[in-house]
Amino acid sequence: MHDRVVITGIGLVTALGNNVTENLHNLTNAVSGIKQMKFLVSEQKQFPVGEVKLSNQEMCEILDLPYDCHISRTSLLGILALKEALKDSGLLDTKGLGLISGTTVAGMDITEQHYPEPLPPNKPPVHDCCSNTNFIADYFGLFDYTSTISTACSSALNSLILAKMLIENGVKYKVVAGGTEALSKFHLNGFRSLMILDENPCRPFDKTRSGLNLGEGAAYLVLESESSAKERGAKILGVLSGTGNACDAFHQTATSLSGEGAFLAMNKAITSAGITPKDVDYISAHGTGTPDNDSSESAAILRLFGDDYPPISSTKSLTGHTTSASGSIEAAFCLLAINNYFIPQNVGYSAPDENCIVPFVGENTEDLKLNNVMCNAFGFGGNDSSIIISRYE
Amino acid sequence: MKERNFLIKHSVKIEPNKVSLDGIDVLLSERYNTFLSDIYHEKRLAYPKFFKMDILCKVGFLATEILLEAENIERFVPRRDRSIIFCNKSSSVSTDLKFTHDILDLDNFYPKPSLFVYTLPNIVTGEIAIRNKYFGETNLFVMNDRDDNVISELVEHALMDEEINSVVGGWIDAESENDYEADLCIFEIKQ
Repeated sequence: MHDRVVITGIGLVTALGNNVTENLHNLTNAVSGIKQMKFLVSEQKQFPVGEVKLSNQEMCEILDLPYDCHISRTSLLGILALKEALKDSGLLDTKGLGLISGTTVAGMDITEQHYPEPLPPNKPPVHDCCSNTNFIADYFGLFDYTSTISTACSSALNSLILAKMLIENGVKYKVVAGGTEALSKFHLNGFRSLMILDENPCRPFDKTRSGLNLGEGAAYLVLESESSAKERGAKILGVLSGTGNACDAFHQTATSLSGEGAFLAMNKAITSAGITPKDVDYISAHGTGTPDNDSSESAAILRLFGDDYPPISSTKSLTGHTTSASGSIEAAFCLLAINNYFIPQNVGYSAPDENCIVPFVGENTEDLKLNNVMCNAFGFGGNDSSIIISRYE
Repeated sequence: MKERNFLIKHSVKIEPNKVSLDGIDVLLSERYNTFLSDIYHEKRLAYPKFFKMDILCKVGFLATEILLEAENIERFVPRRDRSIIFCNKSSSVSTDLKFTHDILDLDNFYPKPSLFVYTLPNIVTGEIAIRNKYFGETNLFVMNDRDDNVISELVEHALMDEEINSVVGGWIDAESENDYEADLCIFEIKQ
């Protein structure tokens, strides 16, 4: 039997807060971080966004970096979250770690400020996705393996899946994986051009849902083999017990009505965890709040779980859709839910939709114990991923 | 070189003005348009969506058409046992720049959905999966420079999924309309 892959550290920066404690507080109290934009320079003020409540300059001060307007916000958010994850797992002085980071926006926020002029010379290139990962890695000087995944909104979840493979194959013993994404004019306008942004706070799975709110943030999880964690006496927060990735093969951006890719990915995750749908105690849905995503995800869930599905919620009405970082942010939320005995609320839900599941909006019970939690992230390009995180016992 | 647990069934390369299959140049009978359109016409591909694609997808589409035709098995049959694993270095930068151009002129502001769709590097894996009805894993990894060892490892990892028997994978990059490269293979698991 495989040495299990366990999680020993979490770092989180989202609209809900700048660290795990703040995120946990706002998540349990269902306080949304979606507000009118403050840091993103855009004329599209009608769209509320889930911004991290720190300016780039403030983040540079916290991180003891010279304030340089050429450091991408994506990198800064990533470093903040990664630092917390390393501290949490007690690995801030450990060399030879692996880093897998998902991003799509990367340094677009910087590049778009200069366009159409070329970037000034003598500045490190920050636009592309892997230079963003490497900039984050170089801040710590602990990583001898870096990899960057760019599969749109499933990027960060795919990072966790690759990390699990690397550990199971003995390529690395300790891998920090996740994703980071900052808001930029570029992708706000892109999502707007697709007509999937809502001018009101988003309402996942609700009959009146009419689009998503964009968000930003970063989350990294420290993954290692169970033996490595035990050997160094690390606290173990959970087990990454199952993973699945599959393709919709339907359309570049829209999901198929039947949610074929989502169904295949969730089914693979459950099978590889060696459990059955009945063993899943909570599903953290992709649940973006767009009419298409929520109905197709619901169709896939109903097909796999039947009418007797476990509690389901989307946290995107709290954080906004953090695109390439959403997978690891929501996986971190799942770990918080397991260890703090609660299910996050699906904020914004009021009217049932016959094409959708009914999400969790109730009160948490005293005796709640989550043993297996599913976390979904579906990306443009038909790239659908799902993982199972289990309680460590 | 480390022994791998896969065999290479076919390989295709596309560069500006050069296309080869299994190491043998594919010659085009006529040249009257861009090189990529000429390949499309030469191969008599009836897939008009090709003309809407961005440069990365065009190169990926044509390369996989040539590659999969060589496989000589029935095509377009839905299959879950094949995944797509690509690596590149330029992400979708060529289209990103075009899209940025469209949203920066305040007097002529119009973000085009048809262009935005292609501002993601993994759309190329989606286009190929849609065309060929592949439901397996699809992933695109961005790396600073091409590293064939890493590509081979990623292909091996994909083949560890018990459902997956073959991978369409390799290197595909498009820095601009005139500077592109595809070097793709069909990898099959060793029995």
